[in-house]
Amino acid sequence: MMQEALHSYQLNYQTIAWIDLLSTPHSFEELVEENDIIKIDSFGENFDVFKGLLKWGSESIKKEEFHQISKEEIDILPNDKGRIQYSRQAYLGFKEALKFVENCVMKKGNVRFMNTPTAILQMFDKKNAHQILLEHHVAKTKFLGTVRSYEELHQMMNQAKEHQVFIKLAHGSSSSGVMAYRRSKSREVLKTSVEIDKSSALYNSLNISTYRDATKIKLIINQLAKEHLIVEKWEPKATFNNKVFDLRLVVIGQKVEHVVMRSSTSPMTNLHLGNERGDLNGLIDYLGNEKWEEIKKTALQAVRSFQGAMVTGVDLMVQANSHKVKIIEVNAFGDLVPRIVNSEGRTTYEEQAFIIKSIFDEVLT
Amino acid sequence: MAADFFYNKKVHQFTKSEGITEKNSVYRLGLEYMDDEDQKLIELIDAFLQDPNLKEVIGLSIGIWADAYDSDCESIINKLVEEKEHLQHIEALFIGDMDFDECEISWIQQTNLNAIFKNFPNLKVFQIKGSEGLALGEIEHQNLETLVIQSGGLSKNVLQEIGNATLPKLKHLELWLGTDDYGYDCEVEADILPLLEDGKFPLLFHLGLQNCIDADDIVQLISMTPLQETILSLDLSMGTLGDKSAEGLLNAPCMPQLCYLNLSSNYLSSGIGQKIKEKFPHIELKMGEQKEEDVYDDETYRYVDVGE
Repeated sequence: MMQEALHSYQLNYQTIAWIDLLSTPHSFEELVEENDIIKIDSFGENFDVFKGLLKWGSESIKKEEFHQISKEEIDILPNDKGRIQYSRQAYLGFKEALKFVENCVMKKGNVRFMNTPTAILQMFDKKNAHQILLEHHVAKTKFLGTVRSYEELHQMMNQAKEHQVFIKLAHGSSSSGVMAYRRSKSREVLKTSVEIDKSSALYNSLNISTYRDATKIKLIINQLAKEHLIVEKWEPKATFNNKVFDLRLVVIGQKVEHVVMRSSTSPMTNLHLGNERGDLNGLIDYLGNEKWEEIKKTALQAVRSFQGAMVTGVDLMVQANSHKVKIIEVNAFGDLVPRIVNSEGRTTYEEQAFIIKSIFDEVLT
Repeated sequence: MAADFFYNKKVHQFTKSEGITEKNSVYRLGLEYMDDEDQKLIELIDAFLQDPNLKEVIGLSIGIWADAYDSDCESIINKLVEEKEHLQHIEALFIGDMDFDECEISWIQQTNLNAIFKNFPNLKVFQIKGSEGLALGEIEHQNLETLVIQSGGLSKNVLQEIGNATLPKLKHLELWLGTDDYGYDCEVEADILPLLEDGKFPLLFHLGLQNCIDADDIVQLISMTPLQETILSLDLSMGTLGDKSAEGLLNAPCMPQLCYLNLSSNYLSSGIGQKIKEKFPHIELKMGEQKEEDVYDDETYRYVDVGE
């Protein structure tokens, strides 16, 4: 879709697939030229790309204790669709690859990024992203820390006096590995799209499962804790039309013009989990213009915290009851909001193409 | 925030700093988080009671109290009763206004709410969410028009208390019955039939028996039992109703009198909806979205909408 937009603005472009960048990095080195503008896009869910990232990350993961796989084993890793594993190693590989891209570019001079590798990596590390938002005094959901086990999670919740939390993969995208967990004195419940099979392997599913059996909950959390996990306070979201909602605001060049409201009857609002787009205009009417301006302002402030970020998808929640505005996270690859256009009639990709064209036009005149 | 709207009005969250600013309004009193202390809610209630515009509030909703998943709201109810002379103008009251993002509905710790019926004779609307620990006691109220209990599992004790209630003005009765996993233990005939008795609620206009694991049995009961002729609106949504039982509605004695029938979110085919529409074109039928059965190891499972 980005390519179509570039094409319609008569911009010359070249693409390099993630798999090619990872397997034959010199092809990128040859491709990039002075005055280029580079957009780094998501590596998606391609299994060969995933294996490539694991290889790139196979050295740096050795210094850590997270779930890891050696170079030799990667070659024979079966394609087990939806399985959650080696997420930290894939991130470290991603980091190496982006560093490589940055180094190539530095040699060329006057090459610009839509989102710089540094900004992307900051956004892709949820712990780091929380710290950056905190340093910039951005209103956000509360970060409680990282955990390595179910027991650690309980200690953390005791200490923080929180009874409900979100547990997330530190480097997961969309709802991958997200778990909503709450407990009382006598009960606990885990809601998640993660499923566990008989051999304790974890998978992402398209359904939200509810687990109430403590033994099973413990097993799932302990299994997932082999990856890098962060914990956030589960702050109740406001409801509209009897569903909780949050917002995906795409910020392109310091403007918020593409917004999707995601409504849900579960704690996970991601649209691919069967949730609906909500009635945004109705919501703005309900919240009032002042609140709407505050929402946009907060999203912009969040993005400004990540230096070098030009195209991002900000997930933002309005808190239940108090209607406080809080950033959930800022996504480096968050511009996929099909069919949404701004007042000029441009999609997120067309808007980016428009900006790129203006940059080039400026250079030429 | 369970309800954006209550008593047909937008619900405003009461804060000490803003106070009451809206006329003819509905306000919610609740903690921002469960983990706050109850003392703070009592303080908030005090600030609310001292607000010079208190008389402008016609609907009051009690949201989160401290540790609502472990601790009941007795102290809050006691406080409302103590201060009752300042609250007699309140027409609508909601206890337990929290949604699933704030508390599992089956974890909300209710208490004996009999004192509400006894001490607030001017109430028109009373809504309760959550039914663990809930008791209503002997109910006698001369003005109550609407009673709503939203639950993941209502106990037969509460149903019997409603069955024995004296509510001469009751027009709207809405019960989410839920499932046995979370406290539903009714026997349909023994516990639901008394609610349908002619003259039990002489002005009853709307009956909702929703979110019920025994939806098939309830519909079978309704298919055989005439409903009081004042009942013009019936809501059987959110349950586990299948086509076979729903067929019974085609010959149910209540159908000619109904103006509105809600069967949304059950396990029905569009065919059954069509049959009802053809036979009873005068009924505004709401089918909404229907659910699909889950199949595990050759067994089929049906779920209520709110079973938690």
